[in-house]
Amino acid sequence: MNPKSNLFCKIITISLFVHISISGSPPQIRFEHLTINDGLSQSSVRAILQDSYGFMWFGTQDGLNLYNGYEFEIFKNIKNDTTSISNNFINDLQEDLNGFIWIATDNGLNRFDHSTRKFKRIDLHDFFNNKSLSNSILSINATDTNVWFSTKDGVYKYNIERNSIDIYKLSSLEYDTLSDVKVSLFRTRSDMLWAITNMFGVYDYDSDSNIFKEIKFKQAGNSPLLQLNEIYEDSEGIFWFGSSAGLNKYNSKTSELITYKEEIESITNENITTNIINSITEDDFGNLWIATSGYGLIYLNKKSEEFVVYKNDLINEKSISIDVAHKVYKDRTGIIWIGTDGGGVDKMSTYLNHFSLVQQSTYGLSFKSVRSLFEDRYGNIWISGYNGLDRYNPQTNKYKQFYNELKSNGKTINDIVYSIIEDKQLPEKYLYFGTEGNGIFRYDISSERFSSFFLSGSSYGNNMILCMLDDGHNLWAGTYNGLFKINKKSGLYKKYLYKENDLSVIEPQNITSLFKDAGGNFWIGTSQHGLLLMDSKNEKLVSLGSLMSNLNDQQVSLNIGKYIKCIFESNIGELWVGTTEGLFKINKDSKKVISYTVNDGLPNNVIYGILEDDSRNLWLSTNFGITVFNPIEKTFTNYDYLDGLQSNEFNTNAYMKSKSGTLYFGGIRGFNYFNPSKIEFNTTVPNIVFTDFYLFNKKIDVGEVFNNRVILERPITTLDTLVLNYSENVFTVYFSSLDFSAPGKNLYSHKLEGFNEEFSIPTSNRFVTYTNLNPGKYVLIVKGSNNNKLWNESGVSLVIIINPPFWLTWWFFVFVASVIIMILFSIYKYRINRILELERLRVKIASDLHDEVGATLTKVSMRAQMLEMQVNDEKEASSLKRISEQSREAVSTMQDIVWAIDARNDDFDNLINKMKDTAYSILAEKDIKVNFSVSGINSDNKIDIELRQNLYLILKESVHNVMKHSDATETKISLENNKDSLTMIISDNGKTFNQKEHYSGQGLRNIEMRAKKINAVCQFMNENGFKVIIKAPPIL
Amino acid sequence: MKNIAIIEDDIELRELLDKYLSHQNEFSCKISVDSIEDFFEVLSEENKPDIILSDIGLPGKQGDESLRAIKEKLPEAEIVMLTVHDDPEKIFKCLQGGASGYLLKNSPLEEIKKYLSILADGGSPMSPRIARKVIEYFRPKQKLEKPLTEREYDIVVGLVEGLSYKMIADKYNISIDTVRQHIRNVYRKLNVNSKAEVITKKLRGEI
Repeated sequence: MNPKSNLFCKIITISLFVHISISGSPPQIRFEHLTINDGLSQSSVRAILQDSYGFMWFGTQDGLNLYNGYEFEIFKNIKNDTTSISNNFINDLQEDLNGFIWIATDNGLNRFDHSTRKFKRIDLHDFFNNKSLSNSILSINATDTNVWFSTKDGVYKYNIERNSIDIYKLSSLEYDTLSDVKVSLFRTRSDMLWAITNMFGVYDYDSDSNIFKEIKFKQAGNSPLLQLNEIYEDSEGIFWFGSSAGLNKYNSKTSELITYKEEIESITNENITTNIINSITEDDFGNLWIATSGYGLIYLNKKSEEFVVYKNDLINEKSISIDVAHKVYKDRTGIIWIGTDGGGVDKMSTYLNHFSLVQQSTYGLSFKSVRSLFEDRYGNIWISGYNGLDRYNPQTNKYKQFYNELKSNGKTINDIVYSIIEDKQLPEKYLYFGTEGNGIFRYDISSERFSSFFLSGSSYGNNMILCMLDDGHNLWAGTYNGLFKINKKSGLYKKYLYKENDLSVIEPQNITSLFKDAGGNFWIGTSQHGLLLMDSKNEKLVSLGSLMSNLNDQQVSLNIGKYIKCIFESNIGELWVGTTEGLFKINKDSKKVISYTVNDGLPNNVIYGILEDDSRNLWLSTNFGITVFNPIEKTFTNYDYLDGLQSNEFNTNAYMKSKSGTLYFGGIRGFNYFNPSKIEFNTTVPNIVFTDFYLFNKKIDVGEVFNNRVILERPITTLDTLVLNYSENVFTVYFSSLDFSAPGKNLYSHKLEGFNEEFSIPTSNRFVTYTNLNPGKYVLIVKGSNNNKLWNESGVSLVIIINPPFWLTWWFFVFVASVIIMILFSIYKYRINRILELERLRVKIASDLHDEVGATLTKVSMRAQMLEMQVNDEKEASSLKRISEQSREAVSTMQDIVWAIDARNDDFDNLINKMKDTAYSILAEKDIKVNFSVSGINSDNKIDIELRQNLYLILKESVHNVMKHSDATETKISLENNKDSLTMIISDNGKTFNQKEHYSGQGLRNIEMRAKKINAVCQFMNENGFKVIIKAPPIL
Repeated sequence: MKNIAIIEDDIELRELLDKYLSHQNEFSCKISVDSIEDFFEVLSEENKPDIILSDIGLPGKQGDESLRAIKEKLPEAEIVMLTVHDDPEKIFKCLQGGASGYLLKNSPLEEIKKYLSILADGGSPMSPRIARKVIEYFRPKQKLEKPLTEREYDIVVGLVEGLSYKMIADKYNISIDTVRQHIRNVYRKLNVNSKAEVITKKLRGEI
């Protein structure tokens, strides 16, 4: 370093030194804690990593932890399970470009695969025979092809594809016997790989020669940099080293090395001889955070070169948990994570510091609960509370305690100050402090002395000053027991009492707030009679109803409620009243009262304090956090403890706005201050993942067998599709927005496509349960937001398929349907068969009858014929002929019956054929020509048995007649069917038929009878031959 | 004088037939048995029949099944089936099998005599019903060994329409005997065709 810069450095150093030593405590930063009580496996955290999903990994001395914002999943070595991690002492964590997590443990290198949740072990002893090689992996640096890792023996390069390891010794010196050797790996932005040893310097990997060559960094004075333990390259390419010379800043271009030894020494109050720096990282604002081995967390503002150290403060629960930290790490949201040694994980986020927080701490605020806040003319902030009265000087950042200054008769009173105001009129610079039991004290700023100013008797109530107002000559004090007007010069006072319906007096009661508006109206808030208005001229109460157009006194007071907490006038002249029953606005112009309660969006109905910001928004403190009312939108935006508030409960009268526009609100665990226009929001869109799957309220792991099957083949985080059986009908899916600023404020909204059409109302519940879903395919889509309602609109989705139970599957339906069909068919067939059987039986009976009886009758006929041949007598012969004829006829008739009964003969074709055969056979004997014609019927039309039989028999009869009784040579038989009728005509050209003669004969009568049977009309015509006409109903 | 053999299991009926036929001049009845088996037993050179009257339903071998056997033994003989039913299917099958005709048991004796005479003279009676079946059988589409000639076809059609032999003869200007001869040929073709069918079926393995 050249002399000029050296001097410059020195000056800077000195000024810093001065600065630091003057300020009592550094700017308040809130550290949130994650400890074993939250599920962390062990309190010493050496390695931190955020993977590409967004999960946080913490490596402790006893187990590897995976954090999703809500729960820790712990991975430990399981004996005899080679897919578990090889060792529980974690030194380093890295993610490679393929998404695998590499873990350096005290016994081996491991690789974690998200899609299986299993570890692959790489044991050096599998690759090298040398048993003395240390398998304690200290540091990892992974590229896409190689995984470099270091042990105390040197550096190794593991080639992923070839599964081979190359070893690189760093120093020619033998150091195997030394156990303190540490080697860590660092890759620069210009892709140089450095191996940092704590004893033998830094080595650079030369890829051409494939060896590590030592690099030397020289300090001013050319002395080498020793114990270089930690290297960090910031966003500007500047290297920062932690070494035995404290903190070093190295510019690789200029080779300039700056050492910050004295600065470190001054803030740590130690003489630095060895390296105390364990880890360095840079935040989103370009400032450095440095973890030390017992000296706290060091903050360096690079621009101002200001150093601040954060140490554990037993009284401040939001301080860093322990002064020893192994690792600092910045995640993608900008949160700084600190892996401490024995204190678990600390987390710091600027987004949690929207609302700067001041809580009781050793060098800061000296008490817990804040009752009053006040800024005096010098810009000092007076804070009072339970057992404390502090004055804070923002310039010096120092708190001074005045509690013991409150004395009465020389004795310290140990009282609570409920209200503080400044004297507006008197030339002396006075402050007035209203206490609980000792009236009002007056503080002279110049002399810095307290004196008792007002005490109104022995009554306790009279001496409890809840609020005060200075209107010039007089000081008005509201007490537990009435309103007092005190002349500031003389000290004489007047007490006001209030009697209901008597507007002249004010009775003993709690005066909770006093306010004089711009128009000079004197508003009095009470705890039992609501809001009162006093005419400041005649000091008489004015009817509120007279002010209001739409309400009378009673209504006004009823409307506003009994217990007034605060009264405030906005910039545009509206009067706002905070009560225990909500917020009220009195519009003096329109003379209307408008109320706001939780139904309108307020987080709570008890309004302690009201302040207005520069954008006309109203900020309110309540019993459930702070809320800001937008008077145009008429909406409330609520903030709670998770947003960084001291707690959710604030206190009466503990609010103020400073001259610079900063709003202050006090509560039971400190106070918050903030400038509304400068609140930063979390602008990182979170990544949403599914984290767990529960079936019947039991967590299911990857590969776990439940109900005889593996439900999750892959972890649900990496799963596209989940298939469930119908019986697995109560399941819960857990998800997380991987934003850790305030996980409790992350919101989720989900929709199950196929089940509901709208996204659910956003809540902070990070799970959704479904029961008894119908079989089918669904898509679960989950959107999530960060703690400032910045939504990841695309979210994450999971296809869920519910397999139908066998009784709902298509094949089951088909099966059942076919069974039913078969059954129905069988029944049908059975009945048909029965019918057929009966039918056949009938036919068989007829047939058998015909056969049996027929045979006998045939024989009778034959014998008669034979006898006929032998007999001489004509009469006898004729008689025998008749016998044989009749017997044969009988057989023929039986044949006809068999034919008619047999249903197989039911088609028309069959009837025609039978008719033809009969006609031919009867008439062929006499050589009579037969002419048959058929029209209008299909051959396979069915004819019922009655019609069939009778038509046939009519025909047979007719044809017989022709044969027996006429001299015809030709016969015409026609059957015609049309839509009107079925007509059968049997005609011949014979001339000798005597109808009359034969009518009485059976023949024609029979024909008539048969025609009747088939509803047919029968007609006989005798001209040019005989004609039989039968007209029956048509066959359709 | 033609010799007739009667195979009929109804004793009374057989005796009546036997008596009647024997009584006729043109016929003699040398064999009168009640089963096919008995027929073959008594069959000899002396009593070789010209016409065989066989019932279909017999004890032992059925009449219709035995046609082949009888035809083998007596290729020149005419076989007439005696049947109770006028079952065209069964009768047609018999005709295919080699029978020359059929008679209804219920026919008047005169008719029986007439029928057998025609047969003895070389004619072959064919009833319209049978003729119909023949038409069906000899449908043009069918591939047969021996299809019908046009004249034969016409005659069968005529039979279907119920024309008597005389009427057919008149219609086509041929003699009744020619008509009968044609019908005979038709029967033969039935048999041949049916034989061929059997052989083909046997070759194809269907039988």
